[in-house]
Formats: sequence, structure tokens, C-alpha cells
Amino acid sequence: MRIVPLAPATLMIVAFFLVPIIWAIYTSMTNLGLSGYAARNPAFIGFENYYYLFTDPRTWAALGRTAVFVGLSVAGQNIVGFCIAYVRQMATPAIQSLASVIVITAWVVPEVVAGFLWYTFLRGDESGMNQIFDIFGFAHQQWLLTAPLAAVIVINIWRGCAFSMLVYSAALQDVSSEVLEAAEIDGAGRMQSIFGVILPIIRPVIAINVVLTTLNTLGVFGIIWITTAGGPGTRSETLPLLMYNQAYDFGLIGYGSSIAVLLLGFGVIASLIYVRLFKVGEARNG
Amino acid sequence: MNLRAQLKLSTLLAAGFACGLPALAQAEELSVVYRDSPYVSAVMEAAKAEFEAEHPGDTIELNAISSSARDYYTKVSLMNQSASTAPDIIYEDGFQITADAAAGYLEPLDERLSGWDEWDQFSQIAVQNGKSFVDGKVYGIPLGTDTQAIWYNKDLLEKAGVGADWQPKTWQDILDAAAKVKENLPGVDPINIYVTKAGNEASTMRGLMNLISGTPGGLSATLFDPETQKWIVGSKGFRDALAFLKTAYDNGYLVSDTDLQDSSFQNVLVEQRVPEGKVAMFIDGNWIWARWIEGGTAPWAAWNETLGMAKIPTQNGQGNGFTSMSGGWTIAMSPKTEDKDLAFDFMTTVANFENSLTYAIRAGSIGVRKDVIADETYLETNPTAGFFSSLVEVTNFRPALEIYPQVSSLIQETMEAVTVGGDSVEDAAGRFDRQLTRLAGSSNVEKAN
Repeated sequence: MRIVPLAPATLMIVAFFLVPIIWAIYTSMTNLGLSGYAARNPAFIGFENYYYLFTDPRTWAALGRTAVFVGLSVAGQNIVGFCIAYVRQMATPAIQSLASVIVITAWVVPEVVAGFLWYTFLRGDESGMNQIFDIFGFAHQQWLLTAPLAAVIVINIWRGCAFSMLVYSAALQDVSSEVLEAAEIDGAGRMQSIFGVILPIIRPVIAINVVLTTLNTLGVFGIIWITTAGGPGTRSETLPLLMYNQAYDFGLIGYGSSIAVLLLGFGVIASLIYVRLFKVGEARNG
Repeated sequence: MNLRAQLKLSTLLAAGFACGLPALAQAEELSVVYRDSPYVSAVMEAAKAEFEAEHPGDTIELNAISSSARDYYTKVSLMNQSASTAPDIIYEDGFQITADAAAGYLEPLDERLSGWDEWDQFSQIAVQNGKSFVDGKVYGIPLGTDTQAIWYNKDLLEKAGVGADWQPKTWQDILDAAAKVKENLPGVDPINIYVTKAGNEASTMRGLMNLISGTPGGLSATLFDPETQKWIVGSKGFRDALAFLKTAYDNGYLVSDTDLQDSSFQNVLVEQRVPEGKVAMFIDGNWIWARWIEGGTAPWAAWNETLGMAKIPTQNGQGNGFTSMSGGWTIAMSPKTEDKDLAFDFMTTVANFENSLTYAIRAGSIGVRKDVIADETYLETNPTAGFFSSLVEVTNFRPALEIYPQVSSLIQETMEAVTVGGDSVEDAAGRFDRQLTRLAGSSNVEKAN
């Protein structure tokens, strides 16, 4: 009877998590289409979708872009988030709340809205950014077209750094002031105390936050879809964008599912690292 | 409960059923889904009013979807996945019919149509657009058709030294005219051709197919051969067309990258840039003038004096010398609809003379009913009808096979790659060939001669 309390959770996981995953894996081995004969009579085709997936240079290009997007986004979100958290804790309480409100606003704004705000800010000659550039006499820029991947990375960092800031703010409160004072008395400068004292102390938090932001960033779709839609050409196409393109533009639901399964694989790896780090952290604290 | 009470209850229940069932059967509701636009709404609302007056108790639920053509198709396909969400009546683009019929999303109409006394009013060429390529059955009643040409601003071409009365004979003539505009009229974009994914089907059809249908052998030598029922890879005409687009793009003849990437640019072009005199030439359909008339989305009184129309030349002026592409929207029925006769009644209301006339005039399309084409109001309100109807003899229809929607997406991607994407023609065309082979299956593909 001791397993009874677990039943609701297990049911939820099976119904809303396991079943869709198994369904996606099954679908990825069929030629299911959005329309056409294969929509009504999908055939089982084994690993054919995966064969095409791994032999298509477009997949590898998207995979490379996903790696750059995730890598730089995660690095950026963690560094910016930590810096804001560090500077913020030195400010007066009023400034602290103000800073939190501003940063968290970026985070709570729905993805679609955030994407559209950036789209209007960056798009075209009359964009908000180019009007600001006019004041300073800078040349107009069309970064959504000339540097689309960099643009979506910056947007994603802007949006995601609030989460990291919250995590690091909490972590910084756990760094005892005695330790910091001791470091100061020993003659450590600000940089030395950050790199020599604070970062080593909050290392488990950093590790876990890196994995969490990685998981969040792997599936980012809305922001890229709205600002560049993966273009121009395929220059900002990451795996989630490729998945949508294949499943809905090409109507290849089966093939799109195989990309979803690939993404799922990366998510599982990141999750396993997370679980492992969490255990290490617990063991150390316990 | 005593016997009398039981009797009373059962009588009541029986009475309830007796009254309730016929009432349920009578009050039927048909859901209609269409892509929102002033002219489709006008026709649907008129048909709804007419239909509800003739069928008291029955109601029509109109679902206008405001979205890009691509998203409209995705949404309707997803709705069609289940009987509980499938619409009864679908405003369907003719080029989706074969795929949707094969998917079981559409009901064949031949039997019902043969019993409809107005069916012989419909042009046989236009009816092709409502048929499945696979089984030849009619799945959609056509509401209008179209042809395409190069619209141009007479004043601008005059000023650029091309002349106000312009008719190119080859692709090179188009590039030469664009070069003169570029050189003499700074601030004016020489020509608009849709070349990106943002342009969706307009890129495939108005952009590429108007070109490849004008290469030697036409569409059957460059894309799909109806005789062998095979898709074509490695064709020279296809590569020549991509090279033409790349040349136009690389020389700065097309509109800016920002505009090309903008999925709402089709509206911006017709409603702002063209009336403002900022674009000298644009390859577009016959329907476009409907935006500029009184009651259109962007009234522009001077359009008829300002703009001229030129036929799209074949590559080197070979064959008939000119080419065009046709398509058009239809009205179709889901096989999941409960009362098909009733649904068919509504469809014939949408496609009757009055509504077809409204559609042809307000959409600016070429009428598909003989009584509409001959109608005086139609001829008076449509000053381009003569020119565009004459293109029907050189026009082409898209190979609307099942995988056409996928091939179309692939074509858009390939065009975008050689222009905005900066790829070489050979790389992009090679990728197109490989992906087409994958989509169609290698047994359904043949190498061009």
C-alpha cells in the first residue's frame, strides 16, 4: 500500500509524458504526413527517417547552430545573471527591488510578446534601434538579416538572464559574510574574492544552473520563429525550427518526429547530468 | 413509485423524445472555414444569409481564419485530423486538392454536381483546378481563376528610358529594363519577384513557375512530366531560372532583403509601394487591381492610367513567346460532415451566379461561370478582364500532386538560398534534386534530358 500515494504522479507522468514520447518515437518510424495519402495510411518505415536525417547536411548545419545558440546563450545568461545578482546585492534595498522588477519583467513577458518587441525594435530602416542610431549618427543596421544567429542569441540572453539572476541572488546570500571579510582582511581584491572565494563556494549552484538553462534553451522556438523564422535562408535555423519546418511546412510529420526524438535525446543527456550534479550537491550538503 | 406515477413518467419521457428528436434533427449547424479577406467574407456572409432564409432553423457558422496562406493550410489540415474539429465546408486552394483528397479530408462531388442544373455553366479549364490529379474526381467547386503578367508603372519606365508601352520578348529584356531603372531612377526598386519562404506559394508560382514554364519543354521538362508521372531532377531550365533570379538579386534589381523576408510584404507592395511609385515592375496576378478600386483595401483612383501590363516572355522568346500560371480557390466539403446534401446546398449557394459574380468582381479574379464572364457589370468593373483572359491560352497549371505542397516549400527554400541566402545555383539546385528525390521516392523521379 505504500506505493498508493505515488499513483497520481505516476499516472500523470505516463499519460502526459511517457505516452507522447513513445508516440513520437513510433511516429518517427513512419512516413505519417500532414496531408496526402500518408496522412490516412501511414506506413512503418523503420529507421529511414533517421537515415535521411543524419545524411542531410541541413541537419548537421542546424545541429551546429543549435550548439552555438545553446552554448553562447547559456554562457551569456549565466555570466550576465551572475553579474546582475552580484552588483544588485551591494545596492540599497530600494535599488535592489527596482533592479529585480526590471530584469524579471523581461522574463515574465510571454515569449511571443518578447519576440515581437525585439522584431519591431530591430526590423527595417525605421526600427527603434535605427532611430536611436540616427541620434548618434551611426549607420543603420539590419542585424536580423546580417547577423541573425547572433541577434537571436542576444535576445535569448536578454530574456533568460533573469532566471539565472534569481538563482545566483539566492546562492550569494548563502556565502557567509565572515568568509568574505576574512578574504578582505587577507588582502583579496574584488576580483580575487569573486574568483577565489565566491565562485568556488557556489560551484554546485553554477553547475546545476548551467544544466537548467541548457534544458530551457534547447527547446527555444518562439523567439527565433517570430524574429527570423530561421532565415534568411537557413542562417538561424536551429533544430526546433527545422523540426517545425519539416513537420508543418513540408507536412512530413514522421520526419519531424525524428528530429523531435533527436532533441529529446539531447534533453535526456542534459537531464542525466542534472540529476547527477544534484546528487553530488546533496551528498556534499548532507 | 406507484403504477400511475410510473406511467406518467414514461409518458412524459416519450413525449419528450417525440418532441425533442425531430427538433434536434432539424436544427443543423454547418461550420465553414475560410481564409479571411474582404471578398471571401462578403461572399460567405451573403451565402449564409441566403441559405439560412431558405433553410429555417439551420445555421451556418462562419470561421474566418486570419493568417498567412501557409498557416491557413496547416491549421485546416490539423482541424481535419479529427471529426470533432473538422469543418463541414472548406474554402480550399485548388493546389491543395489532390493532397487533401488523398488524405481523406475532402468529399468527391461528381454525383451531386451532375444533378446540379448550373454545373454546365462552369468553364472546363477552371474545373481542372478542382480535380484530384490522382483519381480525376472533382473535389472543389471553383470560385475563380487567374493568370499572371508583369505589371509595370508606365511613368517610371518612360522616365527610365524603357518606354511607356513595354513588352519584353525574352528574359534578357526584363533584366535590361531593370538595369535602366536601376541606373536612372535612384530610390525606385526595378522589379519585384517573390523569391523567399516569406512569399510562400506566391514565390513558387509567381516567382519560379512563371520562369520555368517558359524554358524549352516547359513545366514537363523542368518539374513534373505528366506522361511518365515522374518528377524531374537535374534540369537545365530549372537552373537557368534560378540563375535569372540570382542575377536579378545580385544586381540589386529586387526589393530590399528586409522586404523580401517580410511575410506581410505582399500587402505592403500592392497597397503602398506600387501606388507610391517606388516599384517599377512586379510579376503578379490579374486579381491585384481589386485592392485599388473603391471598397478595396487600398483605393487608388489612378491605377488604370498609371499601370500597364506585359505578358511574361519565355526564356528566349521560343514557343508561343509567352507564358503564365493559373490557379484559384474552390469550395469543398469534408467527408466527416453529417448531412452532405445540406452541405452541398450551401456550397451551391456560395457558387451561384450572384455570389460568383461578387467574388469575381471583388477578388478581381477571372470568372469561371459562363454567365459571369458574359455579365456586363463584370466586364465594366474589370478593365483588365480582356488582357488576362487572353493569357488563358498560354497558361499552365501546377502539377497539383499529393506532394506538391512539400515540393512547393522546397522550391521556395531553393529560391531563397540562391538570393538572400547567397548560395550558388549549382549547390542549391543539387540540394533541391536530392530532397525532391527523398520526398517523391527515387522511383518517382527521372533525370532531365
